[in-house]
Amino acid sequence: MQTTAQLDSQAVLHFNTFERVVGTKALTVPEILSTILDYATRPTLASAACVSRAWSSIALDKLWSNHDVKVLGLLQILPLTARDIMYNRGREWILQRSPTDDEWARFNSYASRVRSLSVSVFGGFEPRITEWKVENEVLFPRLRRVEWYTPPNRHLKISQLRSFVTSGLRELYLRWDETLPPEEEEQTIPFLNDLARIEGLRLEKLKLQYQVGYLSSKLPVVLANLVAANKDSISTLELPHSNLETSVLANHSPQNLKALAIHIERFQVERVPDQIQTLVEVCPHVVYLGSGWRKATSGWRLLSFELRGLVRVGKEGIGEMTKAWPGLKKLGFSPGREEGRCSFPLSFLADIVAGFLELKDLEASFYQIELARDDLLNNLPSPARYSCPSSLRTFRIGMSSPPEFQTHRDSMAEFLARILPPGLRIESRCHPAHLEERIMLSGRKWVVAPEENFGPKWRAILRRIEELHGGVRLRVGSIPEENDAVWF
Amino acid sequence: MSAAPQVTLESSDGEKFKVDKEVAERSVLIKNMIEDVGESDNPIPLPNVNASVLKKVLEYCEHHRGDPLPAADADPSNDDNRKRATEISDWDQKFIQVDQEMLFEIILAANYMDIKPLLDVGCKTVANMIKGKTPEEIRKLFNIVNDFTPEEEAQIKKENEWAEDR
Repeated sequence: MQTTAQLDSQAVLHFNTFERVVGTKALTVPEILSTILDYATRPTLASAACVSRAWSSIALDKLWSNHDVKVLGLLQILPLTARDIMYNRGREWILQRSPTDDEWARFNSYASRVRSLSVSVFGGFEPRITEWKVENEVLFPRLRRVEWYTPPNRHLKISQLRSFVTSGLRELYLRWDETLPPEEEEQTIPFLNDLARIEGLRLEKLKLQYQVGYLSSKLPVVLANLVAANKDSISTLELPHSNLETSVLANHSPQNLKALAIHIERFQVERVPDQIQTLVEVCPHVVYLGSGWRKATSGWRLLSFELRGLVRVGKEGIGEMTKAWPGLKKLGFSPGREEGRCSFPLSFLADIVAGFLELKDLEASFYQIELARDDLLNNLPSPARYSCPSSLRTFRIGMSSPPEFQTHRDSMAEFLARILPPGLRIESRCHPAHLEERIMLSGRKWVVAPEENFGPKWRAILRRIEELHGGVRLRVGSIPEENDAVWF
Repeated sequence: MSAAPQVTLESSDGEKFKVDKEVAERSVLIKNMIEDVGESDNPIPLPNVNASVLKKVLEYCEHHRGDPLPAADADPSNDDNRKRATEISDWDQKFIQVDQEMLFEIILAANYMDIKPLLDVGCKTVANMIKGKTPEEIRKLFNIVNDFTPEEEAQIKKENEWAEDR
């Protein structure tokens, strides 16, 4: 007679034999395994990399392709010691000895999988790695995207960046949070000039975000050359200064430019190429969207529009926008503050969601703004006027909330609950430390931290939303810390 | 009122399924075949899909017949969002609650018939199955042979430990 254990082991054996036929067949198709691992989390990818050679190759590509992580695994392959930099400015890495050939070979086997790299001293990356390597050796041969971010007080050298650029680079994003020191700013010109001369380089996205100092007179020419050299490939462009657009765009209109971030207040909208589908408007000063706008922009087939800065849209302005861009799919507002008030009343959101009939994605960020109660709540449209396009899939509101907000939570709950279309699910993005203070609601799904963590205000909002949209699920989730900075 | 145009699909084991053209065309493979050959009364053969799997696949296509086709989504900025959304809708979740054999058969069929949303649902389900599992547990689950030497496996594990944090 067989024991239970024997029966079990037979059952398992049978099951496995059976699975070998079916499971293995699907899993030997690389595209299928690749799609499965697209949905795997980072720890699961690390596990999958050890399963077999076939799994390893696909899992490691995915694990290493996007290296925007805080701990840079690459550096751990080299004999390094870490040293904290004073004043909490991050850490730097010191080479203990020259790496062996084998260590460099291991390094290269991973470095060649990196497609996207975020270089920042806060990110734990050590740009001096370029100095350790044999001269002229390509560090990341398959690199497609570089984000180069210099936080205040600590400058990465632009000359180090040059070693990261190969002809395969498609996206370059440079950001300095402070004005560059003169010697570093001086280096920017030869760097950009050099970039324009790299054979075979076909940049698709170029974003430059920094304060231009004394170089502002030289940059337009250099940037114009760079854009001209990439005019067949460039699709997204963000320029750092308001007087650059004319020289860069007017003479070298890139044929495939689809997304543009500009400083509209000094730029003539007539100059924007009419194939633009995504427009980000960065406006440090007040912008009026009036009838002139409609005239100038009605030829654009905009799919996405984002406005950052002080906005005086007005109800008429919204009317103009909805008429000018009926096919708009994505809309973002990050209004600034004016005389202590949000320059864009929340009540206008209702007009927006009702006006763009094909809108899929709406984001309104009111963070860092003390929301004046009057703006927010007293101007709320009547419930009868709330409506929302059924096309809406994602809805995000980011906001901070002043104390008086507390007393108006019912109106707020009513407002949010009503402008959200039935079936839309909401994602809450709130850092645990800020749960009582702030919340981020966004679309597609409910991922809400445990309800007991919420203050009464948000509990009321969520309850009202649940009442209006029966059967909504609340799910527990947490938001990675680094995402927090984006929203608050 | 004229009836919706229909097509006939034939499974590998010879069973015929008559379905609305709109439903069948959730499969890019079939859509292209109809475009290439033109509409005809001849059944469209699917030599890689047996009747029980095809029945299941068509159940999915029928439920999602009105969905916008993913290829028609022109929003360029949402390109990389797809990977993040591991959420499976309630209906899809129920639909995909099948035994492992059928799950992989559906994945193979979705891959062959080029039904991207169905392939995604299947692959997300498998991704959920391996979530949090050790390499050995994954091998056991799918009966995969470990072709690493212990040293090789240890080295890969060590060099990728940084990823296990979160």
